[in-house]
Amino acid sequence: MLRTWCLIGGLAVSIVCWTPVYAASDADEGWPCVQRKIPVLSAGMMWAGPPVNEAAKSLWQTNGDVNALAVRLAARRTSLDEADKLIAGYAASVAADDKDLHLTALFAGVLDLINAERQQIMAGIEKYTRKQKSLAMAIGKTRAELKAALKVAEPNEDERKLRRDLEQKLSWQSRIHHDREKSLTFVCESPVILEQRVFAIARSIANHLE
Amino acid sequence: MGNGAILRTLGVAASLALTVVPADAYKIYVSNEKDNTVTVINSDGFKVEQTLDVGQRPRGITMTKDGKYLLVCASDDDAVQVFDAVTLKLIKTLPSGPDPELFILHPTGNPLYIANEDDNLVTVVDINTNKVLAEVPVGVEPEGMGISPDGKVLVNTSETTNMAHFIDTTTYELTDNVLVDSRPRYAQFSHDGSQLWVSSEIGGTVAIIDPATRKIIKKLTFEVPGVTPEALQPVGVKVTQDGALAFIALGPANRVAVVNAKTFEIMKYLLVGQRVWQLAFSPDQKHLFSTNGVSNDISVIDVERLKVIKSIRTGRFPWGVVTSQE
Repeated sequence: MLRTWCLIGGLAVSIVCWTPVYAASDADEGWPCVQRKIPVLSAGMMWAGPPVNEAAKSLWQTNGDVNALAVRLAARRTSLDEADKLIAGYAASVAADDKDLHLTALFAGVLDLINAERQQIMAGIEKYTRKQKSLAMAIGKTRAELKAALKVAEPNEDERKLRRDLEQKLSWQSRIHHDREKSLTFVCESPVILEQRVFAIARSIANHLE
Repeated sequence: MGNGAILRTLGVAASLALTVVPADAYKIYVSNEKDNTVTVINSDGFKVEQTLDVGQRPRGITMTKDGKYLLVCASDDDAVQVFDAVTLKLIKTLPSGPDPELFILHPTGNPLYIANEDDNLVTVVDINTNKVLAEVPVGVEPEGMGISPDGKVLVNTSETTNMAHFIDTTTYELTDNVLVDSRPRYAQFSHDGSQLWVSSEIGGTVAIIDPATRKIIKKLTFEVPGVTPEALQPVGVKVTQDGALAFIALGPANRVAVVNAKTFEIMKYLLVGQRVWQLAFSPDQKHLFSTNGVSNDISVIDVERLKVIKSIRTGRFPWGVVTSQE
């Protein structure tokens, strides 16, 4: 269920409300992004080449050339145009008999590396969401305290100070929550960008299969 | 004739030769949901020719039967925009009801039947007079729209009610409902009208219904090694003119299933782009195009060889696709 949070401004009590976007579905509770949570990218979603078997998985970890290239391709600083050139150069350097296995191993390496990075990012997003939820609860607590303070009919100096402090606290808490919520849109794009990247690299590698 | 005149004549001839368009050339129009554009691709070399600004959140896209106009559902503008297919100028806007998502033309070319996702309605619009002829209440979140080849039966699928609603196109009354699996997205009649294919995105199935008896004669399920079952989400469906093959877009599985439409055997899964959504044939049915919403491209499938031969970059979130002369 979505909960609506409100920002209370000033004693005149102007209220601005918003509803954070949490969980695309019940199955993804704790996942705040509109994009559906796909925990692991599987080879079958990206690759129609030879099977990504143990031989391929082991080769990318043991063969220095494949390993180094997989690391370079997985890194986001390597542009996709550059990746295409690197893949073409590598494919041309491998003997025809070894090509399919080596290129499959290269894909397996890139997929493993990008999956690992993606999982770290997704764990970070979930941690971020937990923080947001506890901040939201703190906002609720402050709001209840302020509501109680506002009920005092003739407040003394201490009570007036308490009101001001609570208003300021609520304003800051709400602002931080709101700003973080807005940046979620960008944060949530990261797993998708990595999914796009691994698919583009897989497609480029597959173009060189025998 | 002097040398200059000869050169000028040759020059004219050469430039004419360069501008000659193959007789069977056609265009492919792709609606880009996130960019509010339509990508126009020339079949000659499959090159992007132009990117056209359209209304907000363009999704459903089709051509008028005479090939003169391009119709686009501008979902967030609550309108259907009509563009001249040659000049690509906006000609007019049709009333569409709120949030139009998908639509289909009557086989005679008029009227247009529009699914209004937010309003649980199918709106019927005369495309010549701009008049709303009827509003037919259907299930919750209507989306898929199919029409029988004789134009007598309109089928609308509702995503939440999980039904294919049969509507009489003369009386605009619901005549039957067929329960299908969760979140039905697309309805497609075979060209002889003997089969109705309905895809269910969350259910992960495609129901093949006999339109005469309204009974499900076959339910297809899908299995791709290395792909989780939740990722197999059927959306777009197309059946070849001869009724031999059906193609089914499988969403985040990034595959198009090829089905023998006579035996219902799944022959192949073609790896296309990411989040494959809608499909369209070329006019000669030699090629099939798939919109791939996450990889921001369309894939070109060679229908005879059942191979993906090319990917063409589009705008962001390509959603619908149509070809001229279709």
